[in-house]
Amino acid sequence: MIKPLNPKDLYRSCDPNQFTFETTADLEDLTEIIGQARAVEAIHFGTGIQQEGYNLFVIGSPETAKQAVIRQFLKRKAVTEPTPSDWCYVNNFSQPHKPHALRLPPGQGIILRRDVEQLIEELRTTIPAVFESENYRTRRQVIEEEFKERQDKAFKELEQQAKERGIALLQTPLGLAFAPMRRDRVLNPEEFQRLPESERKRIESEVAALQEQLQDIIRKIPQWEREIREKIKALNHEVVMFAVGHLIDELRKKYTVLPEVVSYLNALQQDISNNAEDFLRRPEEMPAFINIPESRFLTGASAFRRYQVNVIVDHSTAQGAPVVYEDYPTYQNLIGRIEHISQLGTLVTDFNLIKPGALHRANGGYLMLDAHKVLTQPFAWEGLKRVLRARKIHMTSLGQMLDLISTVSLEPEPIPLNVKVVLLGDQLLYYLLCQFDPEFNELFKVVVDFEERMDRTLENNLLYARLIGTLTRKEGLRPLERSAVARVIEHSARIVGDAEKLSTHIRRITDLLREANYWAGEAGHKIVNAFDVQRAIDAQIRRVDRIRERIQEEIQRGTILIDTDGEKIGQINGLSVIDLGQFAFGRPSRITARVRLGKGEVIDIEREVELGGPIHSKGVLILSSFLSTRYAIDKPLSLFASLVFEQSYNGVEGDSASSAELYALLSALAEVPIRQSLAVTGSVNQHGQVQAIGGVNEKIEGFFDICKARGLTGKQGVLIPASNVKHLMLRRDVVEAAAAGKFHIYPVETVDEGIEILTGIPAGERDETGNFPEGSINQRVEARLIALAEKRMALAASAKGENAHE
Amino acid sequence: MNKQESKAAIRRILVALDASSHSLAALEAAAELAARMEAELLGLFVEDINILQLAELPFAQGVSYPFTVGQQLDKSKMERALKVKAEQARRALATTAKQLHVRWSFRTVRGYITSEVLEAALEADLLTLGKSSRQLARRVELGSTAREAIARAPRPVLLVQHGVSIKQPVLVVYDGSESAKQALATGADMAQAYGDGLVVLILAEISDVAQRLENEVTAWLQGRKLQVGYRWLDKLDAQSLIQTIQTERGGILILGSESSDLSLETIQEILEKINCPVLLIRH
Repeated sequence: MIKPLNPKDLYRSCDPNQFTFETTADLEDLTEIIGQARAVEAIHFGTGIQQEGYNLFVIGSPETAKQAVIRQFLKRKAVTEPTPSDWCYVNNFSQPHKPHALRLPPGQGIILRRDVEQLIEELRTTIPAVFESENYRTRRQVIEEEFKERQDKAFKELEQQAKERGIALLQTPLGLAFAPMRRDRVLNPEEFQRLPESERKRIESEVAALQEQLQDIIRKIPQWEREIREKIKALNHEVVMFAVGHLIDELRKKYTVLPEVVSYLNALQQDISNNAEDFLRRPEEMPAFINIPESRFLTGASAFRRYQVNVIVDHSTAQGAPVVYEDYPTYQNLIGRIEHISQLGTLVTDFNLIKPGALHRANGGYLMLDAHKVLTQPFAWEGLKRVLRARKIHMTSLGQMLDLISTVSLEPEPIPLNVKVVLLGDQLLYYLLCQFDPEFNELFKVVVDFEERMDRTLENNLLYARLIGTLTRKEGLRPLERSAVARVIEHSARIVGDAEKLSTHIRRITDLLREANYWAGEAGHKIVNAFDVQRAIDAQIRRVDRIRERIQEEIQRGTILIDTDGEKIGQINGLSVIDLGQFAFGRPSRITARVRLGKGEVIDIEREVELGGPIHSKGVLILSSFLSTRYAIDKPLSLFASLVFEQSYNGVEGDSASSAELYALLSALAEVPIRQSLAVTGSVNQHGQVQAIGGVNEKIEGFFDICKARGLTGKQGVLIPASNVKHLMLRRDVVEAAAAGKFHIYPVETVDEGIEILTGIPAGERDETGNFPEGSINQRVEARLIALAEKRMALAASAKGENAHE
Repeated sequence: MNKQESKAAIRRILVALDASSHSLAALEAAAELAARMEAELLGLFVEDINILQLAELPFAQGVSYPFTVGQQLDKSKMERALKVKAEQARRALATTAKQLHVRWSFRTVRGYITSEVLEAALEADLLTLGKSSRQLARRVELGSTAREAIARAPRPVLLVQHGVSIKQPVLVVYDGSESAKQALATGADMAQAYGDGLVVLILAEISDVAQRLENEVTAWLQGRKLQVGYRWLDKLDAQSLIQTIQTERGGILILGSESSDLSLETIQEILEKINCPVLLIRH
């Protein structure tokens, strides 16, 4: 018969003496990421490779604190990388709705902005000065004089011609008119009528001719005016180009290596020359719209808005490449936005209102995003993929994109994008994206998969100690004694439910350290000791322990029926785990089996009422297949068996009870009682091998707590799959009871081993003749099955006979 | 020089209005002057008989910018147009006078403009005119009424062109003649009323004479709290006058029309070429 486990197999303690330090204060900070070799390699690869689509998706539960780790890693790497360019938006003077983007070396953006500001400031004094200069005024007067002369000459000549013919040109309220004169007086109609007819005819025809000439002159006036306007404009342009020229020349020289900036400066100069009047107006003379002064937005000093430089990315204080984490990745926060200002009830905008998004800030570096947040923000995911595919940030407002609003908007020149996007998300999200978004794998080729656990080796223990030290310093906590470190390591193994592994859930470990620090403070300790850690663990459990306590209590009070001594046929103690998220505990359940003659059905009552999940049903089907293929193969399986989890109202899932169910069934078939002082866990396969299950520690402790409360008899214990032994990290009291021989953990490999422990009767193996030894469990089971089969055949035959008689 | 005798009290200012921009400038200047000197403003609009007669001629056509096609004129149409103009002038006068709290009256007469204006001038102490009523001529050239007024007006004439108003300082040309003394008296009054400086342009061929004239003026101005500056002009032609006005930034020029060597043509030339208002004083 299988021996109970040695107490040292029940708990793999961490020996404080393996450490040479006294407290964690003696330890160096840990800079690398521990236990994540695969992830670290992936990050190195993903951040190193420059090809398109090699963005990163970091998988890991939130508890691994991967965000902080990745961020730290990226920052270290980014510092050594070149600082990317600054970006500015400037006015496009020929197409104002398509602002130009300017790329400048890091830090130069704000310098350019200041330079242009200064230039405009200077021009506001220089240009008026130029226009007031003697030189300009004279030249302008010459032009105006020429026009005046031309016009006057035309009129004078006409007047003169008229005069020679005794006709005067008079100004009347109804326009200019010609009239025959006599001594400064206009002929009155009577006088005119008295003139000889030939004279009248002459006057009339001459007036008509003069009229014609007058009309000709008037027709020419607009043309002359246009000419003079053109001439004055040309003069203004020339004068300003000259005045502005030498100021801009300095800038052109300064930015000569940046041809884009130079061509911007050229366009700027042209525009200033064409709009020199703006520099002459005082703010109050700015155009107003139906007597309502325009808002500050477009008047006064802001009339020069179009000459501003909108620096959207400024790296003047940056060292290395940027690492940006966008906590609120809305579409606009990613792509940037174009804001509007309400003016007289309409929305207006210009390139100064272009605001950068996280992608602009991260351009040339790294952008970290929470995948879940990106996916839950409307259009953010589509927008992100679009820019990553295009490798350009093309700003389109959502309103525009959806055609929701129609207002003045801009089409800023797209900015080339070179960014590594690091998405952080959990496993489920990753696989969903892989499956449902064909573009995802194109754009996020590098998966960084964080381990939840790491090997528990001597070197790793030391690294873990250093990690603890680093965390305490980062959090400002008391250092830990080495015994406390050992206790944390042990608890870490327990968190992952594996004696050979350690948890990489930095968050849970950090929480434990914080809480231990608190209890150390309460106890007045300067250094956290193992007791403080234990207290923190106990307190954590205590806080979430209410439901476990209620269940234990109901078992003690006999509301939930669980036997811990005596023997019963077809009844066994199964074990299940209730997981409350942060806390899981084991709960014993009574499983019973009943058999009778039937058509070979094993009924899982849980499934019939849909309280059992598919995995549980699978376990039941496996054990029915085990029964039918192991015993009386040549006879039809002729039993009806029913299995039930007694007092289970919330559904059962998982196959960890399948071995217990099988034992109960075997007991019922063999009519051999099972020891109720034992509980069982483990799944079973078609060959009767017992397989590993999860939550082994919680399950054992769950049964132990009941037995302990009722008094340990020394016969009590739990059967676990042998393959689960390595996961044992049992509570101290369980280990102590085992050491004292009061509680036993049996590692079981096959159903035969288990049934022997549970019944005290050997299972029995088939001999050369193919028979089980007499009295063995297997022999009894087979005999029962054969008896049932024969009875069924007999019944069938008699039914047939009766039919034949009829 | 007798102060009493040279006192040029301006109590009534006649302003001839034709609703042209020059005449409106004249109105502004006259109103401001009236306010400063507590004078009364007399508005006069003349319905020009010449124009009415013209309208009666069978072939009469009026052409006005920017319309390039002439419209047929007739008497009733012209009369209506003149009424409209007169009303415009009256309204302009009323508004301006009210703003400056100046007493005013307005009348419309029918007749030949020049003679009507000159006749009406007899009732006033000062006649204010726009330099021209022409709206299409770009260069200011004296209108016929202004020319006549310079030659024949029985009263001082203030000529104003569109776009300018009376400003400080007051410039007076002084050559010791009677009309120059009158000009000086008026200039001093105006400078006092406008509360700023007076610049006396001493007109003399030799410096001795200039000095003497300056002393004369200084003596005459004694007791008046005025900032007085002196400039010496060795000849009075349009060019040197324009230059002086520019350098002094003159706000108004006061000129005695009977100054020793000023011909009517010179005065006309000066008036045509300088931009600031000109007050012509006759003795």
